[in-house]
Amino acid sequence: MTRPSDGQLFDQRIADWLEDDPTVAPPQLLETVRAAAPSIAQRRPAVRWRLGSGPAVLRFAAIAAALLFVAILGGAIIKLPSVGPSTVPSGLTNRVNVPLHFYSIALPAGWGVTLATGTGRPDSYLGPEGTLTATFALIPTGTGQDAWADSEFMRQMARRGGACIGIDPGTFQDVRAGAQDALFYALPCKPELMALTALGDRAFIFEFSTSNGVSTDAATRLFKDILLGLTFDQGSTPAIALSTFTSTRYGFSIGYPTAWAVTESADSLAAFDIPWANGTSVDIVEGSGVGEPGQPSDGTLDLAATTVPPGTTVDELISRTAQLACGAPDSIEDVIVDGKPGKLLTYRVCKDVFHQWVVLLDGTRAYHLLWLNYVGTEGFDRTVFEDILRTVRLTGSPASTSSPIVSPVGDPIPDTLIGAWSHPAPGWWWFLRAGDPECVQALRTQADCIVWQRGTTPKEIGIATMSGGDLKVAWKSGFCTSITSTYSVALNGDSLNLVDIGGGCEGGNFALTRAGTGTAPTAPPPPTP
Amino acid sequence: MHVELVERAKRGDRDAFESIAAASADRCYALAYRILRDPHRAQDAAQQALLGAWRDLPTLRDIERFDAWLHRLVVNACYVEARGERRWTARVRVLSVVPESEPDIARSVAARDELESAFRHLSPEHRAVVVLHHHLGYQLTEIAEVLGIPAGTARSRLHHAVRQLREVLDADERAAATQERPA
Repeated sequence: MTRPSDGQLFDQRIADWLEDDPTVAPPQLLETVRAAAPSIAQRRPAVRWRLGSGPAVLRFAAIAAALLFVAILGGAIIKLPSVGPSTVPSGLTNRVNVPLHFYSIALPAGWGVTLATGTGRPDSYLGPEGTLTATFALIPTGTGQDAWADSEFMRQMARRGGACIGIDPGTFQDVRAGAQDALFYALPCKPELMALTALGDRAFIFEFSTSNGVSTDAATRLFKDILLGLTFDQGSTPAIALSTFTSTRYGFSIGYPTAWAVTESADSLAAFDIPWANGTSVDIVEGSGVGEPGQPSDGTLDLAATTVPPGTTVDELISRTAQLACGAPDSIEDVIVDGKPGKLLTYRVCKDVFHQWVVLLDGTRAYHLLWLNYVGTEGFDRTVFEDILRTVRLTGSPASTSSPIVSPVGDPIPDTLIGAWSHPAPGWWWFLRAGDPECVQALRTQADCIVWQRGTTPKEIGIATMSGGDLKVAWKSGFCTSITSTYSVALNGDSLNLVDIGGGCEGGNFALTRAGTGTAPTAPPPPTP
Repeated sequence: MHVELVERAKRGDRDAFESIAAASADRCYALAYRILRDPHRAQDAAQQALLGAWRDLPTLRDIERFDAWLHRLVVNACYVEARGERRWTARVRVLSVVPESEPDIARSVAARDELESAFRHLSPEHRAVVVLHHHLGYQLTEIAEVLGIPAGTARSRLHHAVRQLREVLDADERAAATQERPA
């Protein structure tokens, strides 16, 4: 039984099928475009002078354009407080204002500019010499600038991995970023340069990846020139604007970035279910993708709680949920949320996105508080998530939040199936009789259940019933979560063949041998409850 | 796409735009066909996208992102085509004198038909994420950027699309298996 590879095979099947589709357009398509284009007038870009409506990025573009216009006229009527150089190094003729992130940057002519539409995401600048990114972050309250710089540097090195891990954060040179002091690093592990600087609680990470063929000396000169040309807007950073969401299902309240959309859960999370963000058992709060200055705009809060068996530890909870979903985290830290101890797991990339995953335990009540966002947003998101975690109030475990015991629909599985069956994957299918603690605790069911890889991870478990001679398994965790599979059952002595006959997610035939018979090994002992 | 061509087209250079269109037509059509599953609608959608690109190029701020922007126009044109709406269009079609290209008949026709049928059950939004991910190889964050949706939404759409494909295929196979069973 190799569920993940089955998924990969299915993905490949889709890709192959799409590959077979036509790749060449009919010639009349281009002829039509050529014929029609002359009759279509090009739309001219317009500056939006009226503020107060429309996407924030357009408003800021308008402000930037207006300020530039005033400056060109030599009026200097409006002067924002700023910190910057009196002269910009020669050759940096292309100044880009980034009000969303409180800085402006001077670049060589012709460089491409991609400004982030959400606070906390990196701005990118692309030129023949390399790629420069600028990431804005807020330094958490109580953290000094030097401490932030040390931890940020180490985090950046950990993110790069390999030989970058362990580089001493004290190996910097002092440089200037505009009128500010900055720490400059030429990384020995990669063709990259980095600079960190901070003004008050605003921190900036500038990274420069050198193009092939560009010498370190040339890249360093250019990068330092660009750093020298920076100016930093000294306007106030708006406090993170948070609204409050109260989860009636799960018994907690939490602040979330104002203007984000809330979608409440439709059903309850079972004991060791994974709180998938696309499931119906989680409260979801989601950003729109466009932000105000200093406000988070992208990301998803994925929130849920559940009741776990007495004696469950945070580590066990993590191993059966977060690590099952995302593997080993990049970092694990102790956190206290509303007075309750928990762990903050950081995944730089899990399922293609950045995860901060807090697991809390309050007696038998377990909470999952997840922040998901684009990769590369870690610095800003960390600060925002910390602010959000400070607003969490665990208001208790309403009786209704615990999933009710579910009565079986269908017949019990036959006695001849009960026990452990070996599969060449390798692994074990366990058929457990109703009342087994594992069925009751994990599934809240009075029915029989089936467990794949009992006592290990990844474990998959589902409610098992017989219907018309077929075996139905309502999977509650694992690859087929929320799907009911139907298998035809062919038992011949100690050989059992299960054939997925549709409605499920796997397909295929599972040939099993009763544990300890024939060539099948003896099953491992059941885990201690 | 060469940035100089895009820059020239952005400034109104029609020759530059024709070069861009010539270089992009196949790609636009291939993307539209995979989403719409209909050669005529795919042709219309690709035309709309290319003409929309000509019309709106001056508003494109970052020419480095032209390709992703064009993909977005194609996907949006597919949404419009799929729903039978047309906001503005140059309804000109040059009649074909070349036969439509045929799919690769060497592959299993039955398997293709099953997937074709299942895929048609998906909404245009779900089809788009499947094609962007499984054909163009876009990661979820790139899909989110191209479609202008949160990454979580892209992830959710892809998950549900693949699950729905599986369910439809499984249902078809179950029906076939049931027919083959002895009474």
